[in-house]
Amino acid sequence: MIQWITLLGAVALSVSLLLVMRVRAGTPQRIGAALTQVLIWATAWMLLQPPALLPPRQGATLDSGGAIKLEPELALAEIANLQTLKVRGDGLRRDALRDLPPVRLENAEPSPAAAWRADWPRELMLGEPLRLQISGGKATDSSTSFTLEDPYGAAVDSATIAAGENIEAALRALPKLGGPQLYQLRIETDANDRTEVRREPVPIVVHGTEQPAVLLWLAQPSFETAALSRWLRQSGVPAQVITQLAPSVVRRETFNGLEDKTGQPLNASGPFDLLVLDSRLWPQLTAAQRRALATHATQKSLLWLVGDDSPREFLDYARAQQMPLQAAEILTSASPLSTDDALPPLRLRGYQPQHARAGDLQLNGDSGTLYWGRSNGEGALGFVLFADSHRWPTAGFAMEYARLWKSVFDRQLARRGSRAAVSLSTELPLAGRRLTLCSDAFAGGAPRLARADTEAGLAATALAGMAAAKSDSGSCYAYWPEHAGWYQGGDEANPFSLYVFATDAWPEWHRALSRAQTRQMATARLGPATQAQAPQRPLPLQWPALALLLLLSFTWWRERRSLR
Amino acid sequence: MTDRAQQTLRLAQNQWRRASLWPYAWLAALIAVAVAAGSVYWHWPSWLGIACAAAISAALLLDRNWRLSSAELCRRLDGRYPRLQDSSQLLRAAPEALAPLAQLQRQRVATALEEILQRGALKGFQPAWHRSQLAHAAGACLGLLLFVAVDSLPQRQTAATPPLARELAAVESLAIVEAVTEIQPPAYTGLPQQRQSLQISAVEGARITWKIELDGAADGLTMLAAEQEFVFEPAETRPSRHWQLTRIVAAADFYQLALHSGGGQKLLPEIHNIEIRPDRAPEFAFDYPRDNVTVASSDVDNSAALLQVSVEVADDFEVTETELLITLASGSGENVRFRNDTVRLEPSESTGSSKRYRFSVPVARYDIEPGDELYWYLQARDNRAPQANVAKSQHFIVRWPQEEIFGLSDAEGMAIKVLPEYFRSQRQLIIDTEALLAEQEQLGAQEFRKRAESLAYEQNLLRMRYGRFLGEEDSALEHAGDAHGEAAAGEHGEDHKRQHAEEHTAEHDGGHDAAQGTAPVQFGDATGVVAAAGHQHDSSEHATLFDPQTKELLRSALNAMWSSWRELSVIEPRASLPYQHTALRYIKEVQQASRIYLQRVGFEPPPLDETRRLSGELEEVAPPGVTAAVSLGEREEILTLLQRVRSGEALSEDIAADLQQLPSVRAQMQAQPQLPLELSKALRLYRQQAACRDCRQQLAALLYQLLPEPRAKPSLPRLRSAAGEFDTWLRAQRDGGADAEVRR
Repeated sequence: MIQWITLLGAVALSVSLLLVMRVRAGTPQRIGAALTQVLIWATAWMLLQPPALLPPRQGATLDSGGAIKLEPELALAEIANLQTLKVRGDGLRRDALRDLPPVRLENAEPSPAAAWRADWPRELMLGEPLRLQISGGKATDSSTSFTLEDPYGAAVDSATIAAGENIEAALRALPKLGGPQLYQLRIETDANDRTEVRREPVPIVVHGTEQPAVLLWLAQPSFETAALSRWLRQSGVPAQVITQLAPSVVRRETFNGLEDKTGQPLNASGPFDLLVLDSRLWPQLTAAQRRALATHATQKSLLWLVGDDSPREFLDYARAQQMPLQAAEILTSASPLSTDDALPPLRLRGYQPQHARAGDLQLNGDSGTLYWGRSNGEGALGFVLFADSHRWPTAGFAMEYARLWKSVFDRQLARRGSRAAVSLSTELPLAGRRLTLCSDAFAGGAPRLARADTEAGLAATALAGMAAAKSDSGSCYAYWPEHAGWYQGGDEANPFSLYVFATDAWPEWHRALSRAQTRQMATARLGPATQAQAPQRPLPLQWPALALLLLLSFTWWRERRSLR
Repeated sequence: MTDRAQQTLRLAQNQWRRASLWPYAWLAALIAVAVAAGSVYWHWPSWLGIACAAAISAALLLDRNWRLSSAELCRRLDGRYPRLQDSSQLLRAAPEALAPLAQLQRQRVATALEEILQRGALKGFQPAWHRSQLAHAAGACLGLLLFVAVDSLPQRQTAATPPLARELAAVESLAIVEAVTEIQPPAYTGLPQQRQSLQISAVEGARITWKIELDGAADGLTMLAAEQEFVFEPAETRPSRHWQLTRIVAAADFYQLALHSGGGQKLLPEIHNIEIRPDRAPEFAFDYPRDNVTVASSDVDNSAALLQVSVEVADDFEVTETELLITLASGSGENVRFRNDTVRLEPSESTGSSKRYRFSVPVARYDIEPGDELYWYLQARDNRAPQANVAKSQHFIVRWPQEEIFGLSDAEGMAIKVLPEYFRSQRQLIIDTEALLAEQEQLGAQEFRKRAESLAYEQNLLRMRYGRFLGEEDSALEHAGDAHGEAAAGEHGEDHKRQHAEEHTAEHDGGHDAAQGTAPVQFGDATGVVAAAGHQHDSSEHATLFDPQTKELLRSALNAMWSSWRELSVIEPRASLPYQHTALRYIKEVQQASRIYLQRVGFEPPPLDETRRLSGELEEVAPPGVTAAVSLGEREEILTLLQRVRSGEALSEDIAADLQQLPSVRAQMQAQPQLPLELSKALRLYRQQAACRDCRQQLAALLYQLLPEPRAKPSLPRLRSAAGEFDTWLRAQRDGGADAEVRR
């Protein structure tokens, strides 16, 4: 297009000059008229291609307090040519900063307003506690009280920060229901004899438990294994408990709908996700069974209850698995999960890991290792090195007992999950802002994301997802949710729920995130200054237009007689 | 003259305006009277007057008759009075501006108008009364009055409706005009009578009288309390507008009112609370004694200060009586005698609802001997009627220590089987040891050693017998092995002992697997013993019924016996004697302190035939398979109920009773006494108002509160590779695979 216009301009200029040459006038007049024509067409050309005559702009200020404003107002291309962009106020979130051209950021002093962060697990399994951690280094000038309220508004836990202290609080609740739940954090601030109360949402998604099939195979009954067996039965876990006093004296108990089969329980095709075996059982196992154990440890999960009098062959087996156990002093150990003094101590078995590797799964007490495990591909091999946990339920600590064994089982079964994780680009997604979801499960296209809360009469229309850059977490898609509330997404195989916060929710947290992320981006973009001189700025269009107008007026004035 | 003509014209204008406005004034007055009467007698709404005033004002604004222009007025005058010769317009103009003829005509018209005025003919100069604006205003007001009248008198208007619908409409229109409760607290409280609204706060046992006035006559009025229904009595013959009910309320409650008229019933939706403040029992505040146990001396003078008591007994209304209850335990062993006494106390000070008592425990009236104990406590009653609240204070013990405790047998009063052939008492051991030392010179070294070992054996046996009081079961096991070995050595010699041990080992090897045999059980190795037995009981410290002090005494006695056994075992009877005396002293103190009496002879199980152990035929042993499943717990029951509430399903009447049967719910209700009432109230509201979202939410919140917390259960993780990628990277590094895929 520009070529055609250039050609047209050149032709017009040629015609103008030709006409000027044919005018019957003196040579100076004709030269003057020709120059005027050249100037006119040059000015017209400048309207199309403004010449870069102005010196380049060095910097600009981005005011992030309240409405985001750039001073002076610049186009994106102009921002890209800035030497530095000074960010005034608390800064912007990472997504917004990434949208800017890659200019160097200069972070100004943040505002004195309070800023703190909140952290809690967004997804829990039923029975797991919700722990809300609030932290901020800045001291408060007024006393602040935090109260965690359950979805029905009842206070569950609270903490008070006195004036002048750093904001550090940890609140705990145990969700009782499954599904998306909206807890609330009530924040009361006392200042100048006035109490300000507000609530901020604490959304969580509680998943029902998908239970593993467990085989508990013992060489002899004991209080410890009886308590474990009772816990499995009362938890509704499909389980089989085999007590093999002698090779031919076997007692089988089957719980919670598991089919009672008298075949080989160690077959790889068996129903069990987790085998829990007594170490004293080792001499009774056949060679085929021992080979099956190796397969089980790599494909499923194998957990050994190590006894004080474990046979030497078992210790050799552990050494062959590169997880050698060494004899140790029998000590007592406090619970790693609770600080309650009334909790009966655990007794460490007479064996401890000889040398654990980095990345091994461990549960440590105050005087030794209680559990030692290692993931092998899809499976895991582990050793339980404690006893006397059966005293906990009898002493009234059944919940703690369940949590202790669940923590061991969770470590053993960590690789047995079936759903792909969905990660969010930000921990505080806000309504009206971009939200990027990434997952391995999104390889087939953008997942459906629709508002779940339709009580307000809004139709659950799915949001349109736009493909974003792929990340470590898998394929990514960006969404712009307009309203705050619960959203549901994914398909039947991999459903997920997420909560979008209102724009004005968690102002202190939003401030802390903006400050930290602006500081981080400013640091990340602090490279050497570019050697190349920035290009000069083009002349604004009004000046060529004015010149053209003047030139045309001049020619009209000169030729006004001929026009009559 | 000119001024006069214009004044006359103005008079005519005023006459016209007055006559125009009079109908509106009449209409307004009539409507005001009707609305006032309706408001007083039929409770017409207050907006009716405003609406009628608005209609009349609008008509006034639209009606131009009362604000005619002077030109229009002149036209009306000319039309009405021919004598004015259609020239009254001239009166509006100034005479100077008129032509001479017009001036003359103006004068004639002025004269004529004045004559008309003087004759009084101008009184008929008024607009027609049936003006459209006035008619519209009157119609609107009448329509409004009729509408409200029809609405307030439905029984007259719905004469043609079916009887049931008419009755229902009648009861629906009923409402409470005035409700007052008169609360008469029980006479013993001395509190004045109170008047409250339907929300009531009263003291326990108050007599509450509800007086309800309705806006219409009803056939009945019922109170629906939490668990009962109460029927109001009419103040006059039925149907009545005034109703009354009296209840004596002892516990917190809530209620709703239901009106009955014709065959219909109207349940008023408001739920009212009855908060009851219970009459608390008296409370004790002791200044002294500060300790529960006082050790007194036999010297009465020295003990007098220790026996002084100062206590303040406080009640929320009045303390009527306080008594001192004394129990004296004297004697020892099986001859302990108890004597009970009650002493009525007189207050030394009385301030308001509390009384202070200062007295001395009257020990002088008893023959106190060393070793006796006196137990006392206070019992106070308040003035609650018909049954007083009785409160007992903590118990105090006054103890006179025994000077000489060696006169008794240590075997008395303890739960020990008296089997002389098996063990001797500690005192007998002391006597035997002293006898052995006395005969040491006459005995040979071998004989001395044998008798000392015999004493050591007896001492150990005695220690283990007493150890059973502390739940030392391992002692029994240890004893079994030890006794077996010792007995074998004593009866059959060392050869038999060795042979027996070999047989024992062989039995174990044959009967159990090799793994079990790898850890031979050794004497003294309690861990091995327990491991071999395959089970371990709970802590021995908590396995007996003794209080901690007694346990400590018993433990000291056992320690002393242990030391004594050690000395006797190394053939040092003289060194063992101090320990034996110490053990005996502790045993006696245990007996004196706890005063336990247990039957001496207990259950004697038949002896086990150990030759038959582990001799069964294994081929025939086929333990049956056990299949079990977890039963539906309380949590699931409440969870199901909560889901039903959240989905708005109907609930049965007895759901509250069913819930209160659950142990976890009962425990919560004991901790929060208001919870059952709240639950009943929420359930009633939920049932009555199915569309009420707040009611559903309130009930769901209560059920959520009652829902037991879920326990941690074994679960498969939801997400794939939940362990993260770091250990994958580590493993890849460790394995050294350069081509290993590392996803970071």
